Amino acid sequence: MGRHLIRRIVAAVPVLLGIVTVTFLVLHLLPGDPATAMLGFHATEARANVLREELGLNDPLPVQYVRYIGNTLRFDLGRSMSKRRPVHELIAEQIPATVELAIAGMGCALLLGLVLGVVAATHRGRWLDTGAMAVSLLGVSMPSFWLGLILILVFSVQLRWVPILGVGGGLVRLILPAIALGFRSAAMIARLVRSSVLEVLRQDYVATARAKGLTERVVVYRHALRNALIPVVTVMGLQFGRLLAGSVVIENVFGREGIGTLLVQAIQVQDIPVVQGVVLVTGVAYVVVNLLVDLSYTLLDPRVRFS
Amino acid sequence: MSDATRSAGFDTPTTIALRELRRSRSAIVGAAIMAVLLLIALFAPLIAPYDPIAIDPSVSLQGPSGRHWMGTDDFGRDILSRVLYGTRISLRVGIIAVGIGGSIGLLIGLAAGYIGGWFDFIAMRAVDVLLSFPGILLALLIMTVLGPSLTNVMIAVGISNVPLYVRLVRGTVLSAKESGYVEAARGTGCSHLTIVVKHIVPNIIAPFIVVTTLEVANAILLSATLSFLGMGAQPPTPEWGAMLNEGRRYIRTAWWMITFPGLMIMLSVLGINLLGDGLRDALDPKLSE
Repeated sequence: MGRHLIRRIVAAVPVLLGIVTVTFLVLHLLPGDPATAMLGFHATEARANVLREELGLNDPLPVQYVRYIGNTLRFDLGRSMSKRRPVHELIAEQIPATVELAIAGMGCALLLGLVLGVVAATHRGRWLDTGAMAVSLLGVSMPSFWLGLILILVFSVQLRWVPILGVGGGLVRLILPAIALGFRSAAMIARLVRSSVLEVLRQDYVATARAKGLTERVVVYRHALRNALIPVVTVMGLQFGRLLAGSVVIENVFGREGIGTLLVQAIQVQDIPVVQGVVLVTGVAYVVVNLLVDLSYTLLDPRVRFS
Repeated sequence: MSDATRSAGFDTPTTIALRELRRSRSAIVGAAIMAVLLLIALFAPLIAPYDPIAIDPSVSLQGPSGRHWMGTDDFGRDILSRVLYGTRISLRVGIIAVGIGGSIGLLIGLAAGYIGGWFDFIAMRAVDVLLSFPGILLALLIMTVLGPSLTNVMIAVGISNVPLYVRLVRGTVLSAKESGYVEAARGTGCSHLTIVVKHIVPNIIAPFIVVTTLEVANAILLSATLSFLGMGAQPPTPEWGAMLNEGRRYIRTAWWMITFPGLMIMLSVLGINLLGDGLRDALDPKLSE
């Protein structure tokens, strides 16, 4: 177990280093001189020189690379050019809103996905199964930002149940963005839960549980669903990463704060240090979440631990 | 099919796949949706009732009516005409983006799988890194470097597709490389190029077609997302994502501006997904397991 844990953590190190390298390269892949590209073509040579000096662009590339890695390890992600503040501060301020949205989206995805999946599996071949799978098919085909707009149109503009944009407080403010963000994941989880529950329901121990005279509800929820959830846990890691990234668009639709909004604003004004910082943090979070899920999967399923 | 095969009653893999495809109800629905969308894309100038970028302030923000079936936007442009032209743009973007990703991924994957060694090691580590970025993030990063335009969207979406193809192709090459018929080809003195082109590539085609079909749907979604964020198609281009971006300013007064372009995105993605699922079951049952 310990060895498996260490192996997984060690394997993640080159990927993390790769993410740092990719974000470092962004600055140097900008067409022409990075300083001029960041300042716009109207910038004076003197201003460009100051920026080059500020970003250390006059040093050889390997020196810049080593310095970038060193700074990243110290959580120094540079200074925002548009907001004139350290990038790590800006990101730290925005992370809670994005994580809150991603968790709410995940909750929504799990709840909806589990209900749809179990209903479809326990009513296999009947209209409830067809209906649940049709909803799931629509879910994977629907762009999340469009669903967000339609939810605003129906529940905020027409019915006036929920405040229109990110205004208002508490949970109410989170409901529509969470549904818009989580619906696609819910659709994927529903498909997985359905096939997983159907697979488990064929197992001998389920037949034994039925033979003992247990009700179908107890068989499904206490015996089948628990084991059917193992593959769902693995997918949840990937989905959580997707939800973190997907919040870029959903924050934009609902006018919410968060690192997604920060990223889009930074791209619009070519604030490269912020773009690098946000992409780096999100990429690292994605790898770490997947690593944690991988490790939790090992705890849940002893076959992985001992294989 | 050769005469001998036909007379012996054997079916070729293509015949079997086509038969399976015809049996799949969802594949037929998907193919029908895609056929309609392709026809719309091809004949948009003939079927669109108005010029999609012609401005007419006298009819701005009008709801659906006999004259404008899907209403008009803030510039008085006909939404139906814009949506029809948008089909042409979105399908083109989706197909070209996947073409870029698929061809680069195919070449790198073939080389990594066949040559192996250091090239394989470096290529796969790069793939690991790129796959650790969610697609939208990688595309946004590339768009930062390239700047906003529809062409750049195709490049960004295409490049973000490359790692997926490299992994798929390399895996298939690795298993094909060890098979008996490749050994036999090597034994008969075939060159590396002949072995790759004649014996390995035909093995990759089935999973490649399936993944490519499904990836067109993802490419359409991703490019619409980038345009929605203002980084893809620029006004007055009638691209569905850009139309939704323009329409959201009028969400209180003009529901039609955000409804129809979104429905079209959903319909095209749904059509491709249904067709792709059917193709997967017909061509490569292993992928669906």
